[in-house]
This record gives sequence, structure tokens and C-alpha cells, in this order.
Amino acid sequence: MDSAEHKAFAERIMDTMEKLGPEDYEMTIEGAMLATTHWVNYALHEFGVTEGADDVQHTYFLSGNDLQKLGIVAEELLQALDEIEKIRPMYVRGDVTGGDKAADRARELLDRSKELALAAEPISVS
Amino acid sequence: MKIASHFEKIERFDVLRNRLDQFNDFEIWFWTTMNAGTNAVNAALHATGITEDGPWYPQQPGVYMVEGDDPGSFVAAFKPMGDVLHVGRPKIEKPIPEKVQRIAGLMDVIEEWRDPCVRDGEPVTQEIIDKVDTAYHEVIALAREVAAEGEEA
Repeated sequence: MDSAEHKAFAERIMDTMEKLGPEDYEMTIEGAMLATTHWVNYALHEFGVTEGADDVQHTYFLSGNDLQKLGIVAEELLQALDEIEKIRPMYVRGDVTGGDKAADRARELLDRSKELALAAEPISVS
Repeated sequence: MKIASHFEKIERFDVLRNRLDQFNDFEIWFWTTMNAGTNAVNAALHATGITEDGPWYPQQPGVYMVEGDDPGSFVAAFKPMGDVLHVGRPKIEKPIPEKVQRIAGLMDVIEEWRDPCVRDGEPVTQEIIDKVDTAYHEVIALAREVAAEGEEA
């Protein structure tokens, strides 16, 4: 998927998230995970460090080498995605109380990810 | 997680997926459907005694998040098999009752479209939506049957 498609998907998911309420905290967290993943890939493509075939899915699928390389340009973005991923077991898959607060945090991380991604520009190597 | 909690989530997910537009909101509609189905799988596995229903939450196959020593904290731990992440993650080595096998097969029908349509941009068609929707309703109905049979046993 190219960067324009990632942006379109992220924005579509964020539009749908506007229809979710506090009772839909699981899907707010999941939507944040999906949309942030698209923003991560958008940014990595814009930076010029990955192409469509190398799309990141989950941070926990990345090797140490991948995290080191991609972290050079996208450390905060990858940390945001990783923090959202770490919320999921307790509040999406589990029934730990506080899902609404966890969803608010996921939403904050998504908004910050969008901001970071839209600022991405091709890197120069010298 | 307890069977009642799985069905509580399913009921809320069902309300949400009915509120969303299957095409315009496809990604979240699909993800809601898949999550409801996974809760149905886990409820059926607990009801048939194949997996445990304790307060440990799957992070990756075999690894669960459990409450830590500090209030509100969670740490990763190895635990007996509880909730699965997806059908096949982790693989279950015990014999699976026929109805639960049917649920798993129907979840495969749903999950077939996860990466293509949600992550890889394959166009969503009415045929895909109908297949997912039909499988979803069968999954939930079967899980309710299995859970009721488990209560009677």
C-alpha cells in the first residue's frame, strides 16, 4: 500500500471513530491501533525508509534490527503504536475496569501519531 | 475471562456493528464483527472445558497479562491456556467438539478478509460483506447453544 492509500485508510477509520461513544471503548482502542498503523506506514514511506511491501503491522512483529532502523526516523510513532498495542490485552480482549480511560489514551496517541506522520519528509543521507 | 463477560462484550459489539455502515465504516464494522466472533469462540471453549476462564489476558500465544504486585499494574506471564487471540493462535491440541469446530471454521471465513480488506486495500464488495455477516450470525448462535449446553451439563 502506498502512502496516499495509508493516509486515506487512516482518515476513513478516524471518521468512523467519531461515531463511537464511551461504551465502545474496545473499538476506540482497536481503531486507534489500525489507524496509527496506517500513520506509521505513511510516515515511513514519506521518510523513504520503507515501501509498500514492507508495511509494519504490529510492533511486536518487528525484529530488534527493524526497531533500531525504523526508530531512527520514527521512534515516537513506533512508541505510540506500541503503547496502544499494550493496552489491548487488558481492555479489548479482557474485562479490566477503566476501558474508557484506556480508550482516551489510545485516542491521544492516535492524534499525536497523525500529527507526527503528516510532518514526515524524505530524509537526506550525507 | 468469564463466559458472561464474553457475552456482555458480544452484546455491545452487536449494537455497535448495527450502528455502522458496512461499506463506509468497513474497517471498524469488520473489526467489531471479528472481535465479537473471537469472544464467541472463547465462550464456547470455556463452556466445553477446553480452555480456562481465569483473569489472564492474551498478549501472544502462550503469554498472558496478569495483575502485578502494584495496584492496577499488569505483567506478562506464562499461564494455562485461557482466551485465544484468534482461531489457531495458539493451536489447541485437545479434541474439539463438533459445534466448536464449526464455530472455528466460520471464524476462518470471517478472518480470510482481515488483512486483504483492512490492511492491504482489497476492494470491499457486497459479496464479502454478506459472507462475513452470515458467518458472524452463525458463530454467535452456535456459541450461545454451546454455552447453554455447558450450563445444563
